[in-house]
Amino acid sequence: MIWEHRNRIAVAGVGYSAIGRRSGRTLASLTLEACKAALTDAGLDQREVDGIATSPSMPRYGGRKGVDEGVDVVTPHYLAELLGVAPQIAWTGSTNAMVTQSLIDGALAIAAGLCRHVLVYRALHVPDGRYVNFDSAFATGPDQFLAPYGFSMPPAWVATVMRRYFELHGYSRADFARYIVDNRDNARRNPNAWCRDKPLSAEDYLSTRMIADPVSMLDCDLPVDGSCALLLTTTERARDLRRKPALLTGFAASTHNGGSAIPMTLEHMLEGGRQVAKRLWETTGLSPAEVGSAQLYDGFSMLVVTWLESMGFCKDGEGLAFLRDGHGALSGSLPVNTGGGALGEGRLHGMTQIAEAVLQVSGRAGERQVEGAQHSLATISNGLSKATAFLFARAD
Amino acid sequence: MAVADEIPLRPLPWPDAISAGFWEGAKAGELRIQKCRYCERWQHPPAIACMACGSEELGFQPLPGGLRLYSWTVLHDAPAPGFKTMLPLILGLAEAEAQQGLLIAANILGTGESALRLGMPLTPVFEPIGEGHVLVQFKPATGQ
Ligand SMILES: [Zn+2]
Repeated sequence: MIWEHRNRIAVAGVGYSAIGRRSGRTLASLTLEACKAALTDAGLDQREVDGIATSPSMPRYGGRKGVDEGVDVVTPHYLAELLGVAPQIAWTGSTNAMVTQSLIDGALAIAAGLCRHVLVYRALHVPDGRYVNFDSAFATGPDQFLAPYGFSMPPAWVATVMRRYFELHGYSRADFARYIVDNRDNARRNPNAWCRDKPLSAEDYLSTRMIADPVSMLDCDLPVDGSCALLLTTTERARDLRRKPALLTGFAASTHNGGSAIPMTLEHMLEGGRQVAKRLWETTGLSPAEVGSAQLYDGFSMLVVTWLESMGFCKDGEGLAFLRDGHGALSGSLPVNTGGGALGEGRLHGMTQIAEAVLQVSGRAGERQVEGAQHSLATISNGLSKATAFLFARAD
Repeated sequence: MAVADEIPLRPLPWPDAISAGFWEGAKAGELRIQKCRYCERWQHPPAIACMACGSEELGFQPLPGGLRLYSWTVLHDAPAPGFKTMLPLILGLAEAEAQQGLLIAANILGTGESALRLGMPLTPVFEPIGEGHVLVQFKPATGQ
């Protein structure tokens, strides 16, 4: 059934903070910069904001964990105070799932008439200490079956996905090189990308340090200090604002857990992604053939391949060949991660994909603009529970 | 905050009410996996209810049948100081022949990376790692 609010909610503004590494800036400062930029982009006064949503939590492993407002987290309530708008906030949303769940919540809050202008933001930083590690003497809960083996690190989980994919379908890391290089070329056309000034060759990719073979440094997104914010409103209201809006055609979220010995496996990721795809195509009335560019979550390079296959762009086992043969390049049949994704931009937990889809359908992607694209897809996370997909349409 | 002398050699598993049956099996030299008494599905890691039917009627039983290598990764840097003597460290997933998709994570011992093949038969081995803790590990079943 088609979603009754299809194309009635829109993203009217996109804002980024500066993206850095160990910049010394607080999360609050980064968040304020991004939110103010999104408001300026939309041409909206902050006194009109009446809804705020995010996922404030930091990743599961590594680095110093804290709960200090403004330093370790920025909750919607604190942001409302920082912006001086607390009395007018009618709705807040906060989720432990990926931040992009907040985009669904925000859209539904607007559709329900609870509020009119919603800021959705994500702020991340590089905490003190090693980012990916397990530093307790005892492993409890799910970690008791992982940490005693050295398995409590997401790059190792995704390495088993990549290894199995390689073995089942006859690929090697060399088949990934073209995509990694194409993706970096896209990042170099994106002023927000951390890697915009860092060229990369296939040789660089194939000689880089392994984290968990076959996953190298260049297969993992880079933790950064940064924030990205979106301003959400009704399409009707957005038409009065400064920018051409990006219309939210529809969305879908995964509920496929697939509980297993490690938190992600190839088969469960594909199954979860296929469930997301089914819901997305049914509720939007669209199909993969109508997507002009695809912003596929790349916290790890391997996820781009599983999304290509599960969303229906490629058959099982053919996703990596599609990328290897250049079909995902800016000049290819389905430009993928046109802004360089998280591999090029830095780790903003899926905001990268959403922001790029918005910029593409509103014709604001500059040197990396895909011409004539009516729709852009954004997928976030790995296809399992908490993963989401969004389809954005160009406003007529 | 962790200080240097608190950094674990290798993190030790901390059994709880749900997982105790697995670790007791390891101490007895047996691979025991949680099984639903209602729908008879195996599941790992153990959970408070059966992920297939919701039943809380669960127990641990020796896993019948063989194990096959489902996938693996190789670490060249030790994830904690205690792994340094095990480098390169092979992290593997074994799939139970008893039930497709039933995976168990452990290290693959007694072999090198170049000998690993998808689907190769594995056998469980039980490694004491101190303070009364015993880990379930795997090694290739060939050459026994
Ligand atoms: Zn059951």
